[in-house]
Amino acid sequence: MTRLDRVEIRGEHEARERAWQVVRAAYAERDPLPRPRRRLAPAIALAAVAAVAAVAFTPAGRAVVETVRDAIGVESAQEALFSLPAPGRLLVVADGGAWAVADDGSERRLGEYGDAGCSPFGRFVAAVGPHELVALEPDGDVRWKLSRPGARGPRWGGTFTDTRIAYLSRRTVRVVAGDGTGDHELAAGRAVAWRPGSVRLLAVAHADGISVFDVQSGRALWTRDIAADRLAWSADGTRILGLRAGHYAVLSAAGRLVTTGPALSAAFATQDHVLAIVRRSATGSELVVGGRLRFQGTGTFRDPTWAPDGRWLAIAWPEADQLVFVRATGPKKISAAANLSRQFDSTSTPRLAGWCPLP
Amino acid sequence: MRPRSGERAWVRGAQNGSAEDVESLFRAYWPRAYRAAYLVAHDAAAAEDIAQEAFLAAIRSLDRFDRRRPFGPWLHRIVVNRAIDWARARRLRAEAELAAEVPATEPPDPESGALLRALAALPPDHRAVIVLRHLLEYTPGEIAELLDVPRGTVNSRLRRGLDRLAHELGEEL
Repeated sequence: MTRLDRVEIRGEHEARERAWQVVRAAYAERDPLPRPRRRLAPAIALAAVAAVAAVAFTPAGRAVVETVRDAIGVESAQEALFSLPAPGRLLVVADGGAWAVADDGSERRLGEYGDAGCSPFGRFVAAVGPHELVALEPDGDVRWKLSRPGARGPRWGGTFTDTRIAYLSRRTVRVVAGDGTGDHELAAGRAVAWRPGSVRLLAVAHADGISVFDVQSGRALWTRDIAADRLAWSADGTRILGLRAGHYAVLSAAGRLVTTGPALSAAFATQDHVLAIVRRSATGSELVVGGRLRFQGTGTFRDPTWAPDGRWLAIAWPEADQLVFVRATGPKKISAAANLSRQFDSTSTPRLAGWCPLP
Repeated sequence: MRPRSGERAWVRGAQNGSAEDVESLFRAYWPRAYRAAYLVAHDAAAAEDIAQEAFLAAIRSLDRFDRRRPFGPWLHRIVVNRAIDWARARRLRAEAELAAEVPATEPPDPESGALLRALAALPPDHRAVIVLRHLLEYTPGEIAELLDVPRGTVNSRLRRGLDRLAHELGEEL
């Protein structure tokens, strides 16, 4: 039986090297080597942010904040968001509610909602208010609503003719058909993501890790013990992204850990599984797309959001109170809109909740 | 089973922050861990997953690891038990929907193919016993300990497994 040693396994070498990269990264995370210089930079950045936050609470301080914002934002930023660089509707969630911004810059307040997401083909918006899940027309007209305690994190998935919304109600994942019927509990969880084009396969992040559920049978197909509180499924259906506490992990659709690393936030492209990652840099944050640096600045970038055509990314930049558009491919190109919180009647920089395709 | 001196030094180095020693441990133990997982699970992607997860578990519990104990059996226990679990669960999965993600790897040569087909005909726990005995070279007593089953069970699984393999391959084992 020494032949067991000689059985050829195709891809054995590649598997070993992939695994080594993951194991090495896990070991480095467990016991990072001391790097005094690198630790100093984030410390300075944090101190600067703390100082800005402190003075912002006084009237005189607010002027200082505006000065700082001018200094750290994109210099050529427009005074407000006048247009989008790509077709679609940008969903913005501010203190006072959710907004949809068309590519010509026209804004429509959808209502007093704390989170929102697009339907797969951009025909509707799922939003959550205090204790309710709502399906909206893009202009804000309510199609139907469902009262559920602590509703949050709606994700609308499916095909052109059959869709489902998965959402969280307190600590439970629930699923409802796109027409508002058949609402039912699936499992405990804290984040969800549909496999694109599927009304059956739903990734769920929960206390024991990440699982993929067959929603029809209610059964978990696999579970991986990787902690996450945000999830995304790549457009080509081959990868699942989990994010938590400054780290990301990418799993295959069968649950194999593909890669992991530091990230403040991340998002899959709209066509394949190219990843846009926001991570901390020596002086602030940097946006890396497909392994290439596309944009960097002081402070912390948030909410990387792909345009439906996959050519642009939007990020929120709270320290500058700007919305920055970064071209994702080809020659670098940046455009920005300033005074974001003022434009959306918000006391803090609004959050980007999605960039919906045009129906 | 006592740890080899090189292995003990690698574990000590890894506990003290040496990435080089972690790599030495990985390079020394990955090939057989991955192969064992593959022979039990019969799926290259799953084998990679299982072996990788075993190493990640090792990294996570490195500080608690007793250097007087050998590393190999500890790692192999995780690998083989997870591979058995995976092989049992496989038939319950919606393979049709996930088939694109978990391609079965075809062996490149006929001899390997025949052996893999014969192994595949065995129940997962029989495969595991044969792999532990004839690839990883544990004694039946050690296998009983690794799988947490009586030694008699190990012996009977070995005998029945080898008989079935001989029948499938048409040869004496």
